[in-house]
Amino acid sequence: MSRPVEQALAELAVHIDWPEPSDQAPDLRTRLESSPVSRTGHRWIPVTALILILVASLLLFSPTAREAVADLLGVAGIEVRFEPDPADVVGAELDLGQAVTLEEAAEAVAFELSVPGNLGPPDGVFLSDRPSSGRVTMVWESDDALPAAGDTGIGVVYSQFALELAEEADFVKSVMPDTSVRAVEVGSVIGLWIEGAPHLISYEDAAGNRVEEETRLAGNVLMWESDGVTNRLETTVGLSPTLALAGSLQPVG
Amino acid sequence: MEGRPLNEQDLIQNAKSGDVAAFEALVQTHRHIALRVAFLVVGDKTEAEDVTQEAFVKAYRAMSRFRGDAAFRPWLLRIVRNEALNQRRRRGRQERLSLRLASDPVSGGAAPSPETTVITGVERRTVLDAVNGLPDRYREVVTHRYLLGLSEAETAATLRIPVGTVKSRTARALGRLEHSLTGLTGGGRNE
Repeated sequence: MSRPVEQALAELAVHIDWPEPSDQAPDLRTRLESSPVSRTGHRWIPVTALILILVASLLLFSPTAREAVADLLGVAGIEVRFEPDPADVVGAELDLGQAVTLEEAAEAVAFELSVPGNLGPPDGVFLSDRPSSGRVTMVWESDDALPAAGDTGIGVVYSQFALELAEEADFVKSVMPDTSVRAVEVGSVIGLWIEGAPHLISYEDAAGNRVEEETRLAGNVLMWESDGVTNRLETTVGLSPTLALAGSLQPVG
Repeated sequence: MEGRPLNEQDLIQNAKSGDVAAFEALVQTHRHIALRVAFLVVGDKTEAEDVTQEAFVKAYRAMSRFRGDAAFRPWLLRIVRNEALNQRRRRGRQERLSLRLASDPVSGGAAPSPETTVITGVERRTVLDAVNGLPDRYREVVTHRYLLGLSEAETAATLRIPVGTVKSRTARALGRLEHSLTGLTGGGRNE
């Protein structure tokens, strides 16, 4: 039943020069005894601290600048911020939500999903509850035209989510060196092209919740809203090929 | 199923409540494969050992977050791999892993019977070169599925990718390997 190449691999496994565990048990025991089992969510503390720092830093930017950006972009509720230490973001595991099938994703959200027609079916589909109305994120493996970022093996990350926005959406823009944000035409709507250093994006929903997200690939992001659905397309390539992907969107199914 | 200790559930429960000995017993059975998972990322035996130990300490601290109904091994391996990826990032070097053949079969590994031996000697090296030459995303699934012997589900959990992606990448990787090994393994062995 198994193919010759599978047999060859299984046979090869026995002959690899693998490392052998040394007797590390005593040392491990010592370390474990000084490391109590965690009962609390310590892991979230740094994230909370980071968000607080970001919020504080945002207050420094002038309201005039916010309004100008809001007018210019017209992207519903999207706020762009830049965080100084990309090491925490770049190449980190793509924490995109629960892995689902395309069909499950389509069923789980109220809006109609699209897929870039020239990419073929996604290699992974994820569903998350940020925002609460649901977010579907599709990823595609890299290829020659859409290279991977770092060791992720992923060339494209495409998210779709419906925003129920706060009445007065609050736009903030701050620009770190090496990052640019500009308004671009995506078909018949105006979108936002964020290029350069890794960044965080956040928005506020109708309940006043602020939702944070970060660059997944340390790539460039094209963001636009169409028929109440916000689209976020992240690649490692330039504006023109990214616009071409956006232009090839087709409804799923 | 593989020969897991019958009392793994008990060990998990005890480890969750802070029993060091139970946790040690729990990870003991997975030490070899954990070390290999780390080695596949960092490519250095000593570093892999350090990473594995660090990951075990982290896994112990995180035991309270382990869901009882989930499989323990992939949960542990995922922590090990994550620690290894972090180590590789910290180190800054990103050279490709190049697996080597041992001069002798690994002790404890079953000697292949003549029936299952489809390649030998120089050909084995050719297959390994082909594996080493795969793009990262394909090599990962091939090494975890076939060299470590993980199931599709375990590979998916360890690599943090959907099972469907494991399937599709495996299929493409095998296709690539077959292409680059044309004439080597295709010698009429259709079973």
